[in-house]
Amino acid sequence: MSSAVESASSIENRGMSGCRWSHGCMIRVVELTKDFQQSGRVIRAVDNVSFAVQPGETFGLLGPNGAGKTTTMRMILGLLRPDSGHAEIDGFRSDRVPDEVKRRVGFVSASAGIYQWLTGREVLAFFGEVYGLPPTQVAQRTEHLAELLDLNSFLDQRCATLSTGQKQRVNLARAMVHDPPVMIMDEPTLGLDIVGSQMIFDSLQVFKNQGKSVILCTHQLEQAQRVCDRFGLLFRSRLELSGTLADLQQATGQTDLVEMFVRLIRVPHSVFPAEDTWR
Amino acid sequence: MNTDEQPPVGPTINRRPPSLAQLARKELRETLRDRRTLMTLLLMPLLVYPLLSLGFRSFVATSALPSDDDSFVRYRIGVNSSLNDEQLRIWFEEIENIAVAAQTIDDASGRSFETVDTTDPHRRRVEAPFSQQRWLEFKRNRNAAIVLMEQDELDLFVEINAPVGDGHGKPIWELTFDPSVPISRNAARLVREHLELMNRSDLQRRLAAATGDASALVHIEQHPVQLQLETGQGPNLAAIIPLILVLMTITGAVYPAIDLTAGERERGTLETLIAAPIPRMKILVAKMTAVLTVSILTAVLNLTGMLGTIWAFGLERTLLGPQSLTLTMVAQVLGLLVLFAMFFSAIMLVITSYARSFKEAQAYLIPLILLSLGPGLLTLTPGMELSGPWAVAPMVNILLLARDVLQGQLAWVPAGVAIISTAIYAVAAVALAASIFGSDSILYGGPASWSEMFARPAQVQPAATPQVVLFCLLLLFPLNFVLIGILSRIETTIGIRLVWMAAFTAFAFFVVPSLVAWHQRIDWRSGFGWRNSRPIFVVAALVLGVSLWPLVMSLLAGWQQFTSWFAGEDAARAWAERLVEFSRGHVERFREAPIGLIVMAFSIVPAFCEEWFFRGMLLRSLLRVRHPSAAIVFSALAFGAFHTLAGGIAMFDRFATTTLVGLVLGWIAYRTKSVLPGMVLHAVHNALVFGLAYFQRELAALPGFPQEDEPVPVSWVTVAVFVSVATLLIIGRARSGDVAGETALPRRSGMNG
Repeated sequence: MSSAVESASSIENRGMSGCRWSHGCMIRVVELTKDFQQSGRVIRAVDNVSFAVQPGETFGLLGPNGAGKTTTMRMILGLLRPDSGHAEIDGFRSDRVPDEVKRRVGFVSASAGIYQWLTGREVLAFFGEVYGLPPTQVAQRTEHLAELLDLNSFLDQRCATLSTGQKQRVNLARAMVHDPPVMIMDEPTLGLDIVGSQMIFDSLQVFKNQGKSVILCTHQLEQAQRVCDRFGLLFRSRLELSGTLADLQQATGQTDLVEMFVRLIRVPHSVFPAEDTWR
Repeated sequence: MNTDEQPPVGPTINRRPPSLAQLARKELRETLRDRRTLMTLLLMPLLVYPLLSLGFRSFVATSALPSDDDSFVRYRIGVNSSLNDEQLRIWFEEIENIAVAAQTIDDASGRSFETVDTTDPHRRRVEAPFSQQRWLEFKRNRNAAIVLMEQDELDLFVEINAPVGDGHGKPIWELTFDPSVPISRNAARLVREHLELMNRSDLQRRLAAATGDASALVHIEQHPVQLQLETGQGPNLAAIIPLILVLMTITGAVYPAIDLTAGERERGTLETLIAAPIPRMKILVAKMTAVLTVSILTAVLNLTGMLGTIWAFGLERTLLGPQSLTLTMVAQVLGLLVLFAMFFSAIMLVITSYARSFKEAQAYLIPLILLSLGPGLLTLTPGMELSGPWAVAPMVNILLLARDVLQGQLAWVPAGVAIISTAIYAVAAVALAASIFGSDSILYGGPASWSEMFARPAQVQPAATPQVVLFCLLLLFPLNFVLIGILSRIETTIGIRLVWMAAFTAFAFFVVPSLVAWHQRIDWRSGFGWRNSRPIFVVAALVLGVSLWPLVMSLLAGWQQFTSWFAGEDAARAWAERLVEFSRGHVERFREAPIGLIVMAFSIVPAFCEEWFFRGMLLRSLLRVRHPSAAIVFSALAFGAFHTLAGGIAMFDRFATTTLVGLVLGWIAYRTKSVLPGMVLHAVHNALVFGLAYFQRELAALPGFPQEDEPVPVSWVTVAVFVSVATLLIIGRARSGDVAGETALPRRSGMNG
């Protein structure tokens, strides 16, 4: 079993399996590594993580809290500088031309707040301007997104008065205002009820239809299993497993993601070769 | 949700960056819609100034300061007399200068008069003649009157008793008052003055009657002139206005500054903004524009509120003196407030950018505001002038300038210096904010956190973090002042004084940094450059140490020339003479000490310790996070500033020269990777400069040697320049100081790299 895991993850790490049959991959993550200093001690937050995502593909980046998912996403977007390795969006390296990367990415995160004193419409208008859309296009996109995400009933209310679900929908619209080819979604359903999170997962289907590449980071594994094309399991800063659901099933002998996840956290030795697990 | 809908626009990538106005508009919209901003913006000027004015008016009333309106200061004077009403009336009438608006406020058991201060000739006005008043006995003794005074119902108690004896003499006046209460003191003064006047005119009359000569007494004519404010006249009221305005401007900026940085970070909106393709500098400038706009709005509203109140309450004369307010003055004050707001907004953004939450930001800003109260209150000191170091002292210079503007005493040169220096501080603060704002460590709470700064690292560190070094710098600054203060109080022989001086230098620049470095587990070799150097560098440093002094002397002279162009010929000459006197006095004293002690106190100890900190800990730390040139310049400026400010006023001229020497030393330490050549250079240079002063008399006797007040000969400077440049070239071209396989350490990652 462990040799199967090794082969699966090493293929991923070496060869960008998502793109091995095509050069047109939208997201390429190459050996990303990031250290943080904490009280004079160096803590490796992300360790040699590599993967790739094609257009129209949804990649589920899964892992327990503190595994390094958020740090990985921030490095892909160019918010953090990696210590080594790099990430590319549409051929642009986020450590070299972060603004080119940011233009192509819609970023949704659980920690992302919304401007309390602006209305949803003003938030969309502002970010439309920020992403360089001409005013007519901003209006067009606002109308389109309002309809798509059902914002019309509260679009002219100040965001402070909105419910958590409404706020997250405004936030999603904000990330989509410039119609980016890539969506990076960090726990987009955190704190949402069933209806709210269903709306987010529905939007993932829209992105797929539109040919967008998506990185999704979530703890809702069942939903993730349904919408994601491929997965990466991040544990203790390393991408321990990646591939399609079938790849993972083959490597772990578990049928669904929840089981893989629980085993991953509880008894890492049973899933992974010992020398790789403990650093 | 319609899941199969196609987008109306294709995924086009737009490159048009958002304009600053668009960004700033959002920041402003967000701030101005917030009720808390509006509270400080509108309520303050509407409520605070009328309340302040009321308080001020009652202050004016009790302290009997001259007020602007026509109301008189009324003294409540209780009179108890053994004379009858008619006698009293005659007495009061006799004191013709006492005009009393007598109005009994007391009941039948006593009486008191409200009199009018007639010392001011413009105010001399008799409101009610004595003769028309009822006179009643004030049947209370002095103790009862004192009780009334304690209850603030009486200002002065007068007992007029019939003369002892035949009854033809004058009565005895006994005045009871509280000298600690201004109004009571003034009432007593008033009555006393009038009695003295009466005595004098009586004397003159009798003298004239006796001698037949009316001009027997000295005739006095008085010509009162309005002088400008002098020292020792009590608090300077005109300085209160800028102080209050500046504090209000700060208050107005506090909330938006916190809200748009730490607040945005706490709410998670900062990350979405950073995730957008906008240069961080632009975000910062937009935020600063918003903070600035709010603080300028606050300034305008406060200025309006304050001037309106001053006008409505008629306080101009009290606050501003005879100068009346003009529109130009108001505009000038407003301009100064805008400039100050720029400087202070940037500083606040630097500080709030560090904070991860609103609360944290508040905790940082409160000490800052309290700290800025210090220099603010300093400007209330009478006799403070906008000149010398005060013209460049942040905040103080603007406050003094605004005060001068309000008093109509604008001097253009110091005003220019104040404005330019504040503008420079503002730009520096913006640059600092830009380097901090949005960096990894700020966004995601990395090593910048203050609590982690003091934690002892588990592993050996290659160099101190910039935060730790900055902390050291902030610690050493007041420490140095205190040590200098202690030194000036030690009364002992010059020799022991020199020992103390060396000990203090060692304590400040060697012991303290070393303790911090030990706590932070900093490697001595990489963190201080404490390692061997190639012999060629030591020799080169020795040569530079010998050849730099003519350059430094010429630069000092040039700098004095420059300041004289700025401050005026006479001021500069006076200044130079003062300096020569100062150093001559010192040299005379130092000549009493053994030469070995002088070498130790002025050359060896400072060279070792100052290099240890400035080119060791400080420079080594900065070299890791900044470009070498920036690191060298910063360490040189810190070196210069320390010597200038710690050395007191006499060292003010040394800033340029010390900084230049600091640059050379910094560059050598950078090139050689060792602190040793710099120590050699520093020691030799110091020894030469002090030696020249020490042996001035002997040297001046030598043929061809310049006298004390003569410049260094051009030929000497030329040789010095040639030797220095050649040596610097040798150091620059030589293989750098890898004596022990020291490889360049990787620069720390992150945005602050």
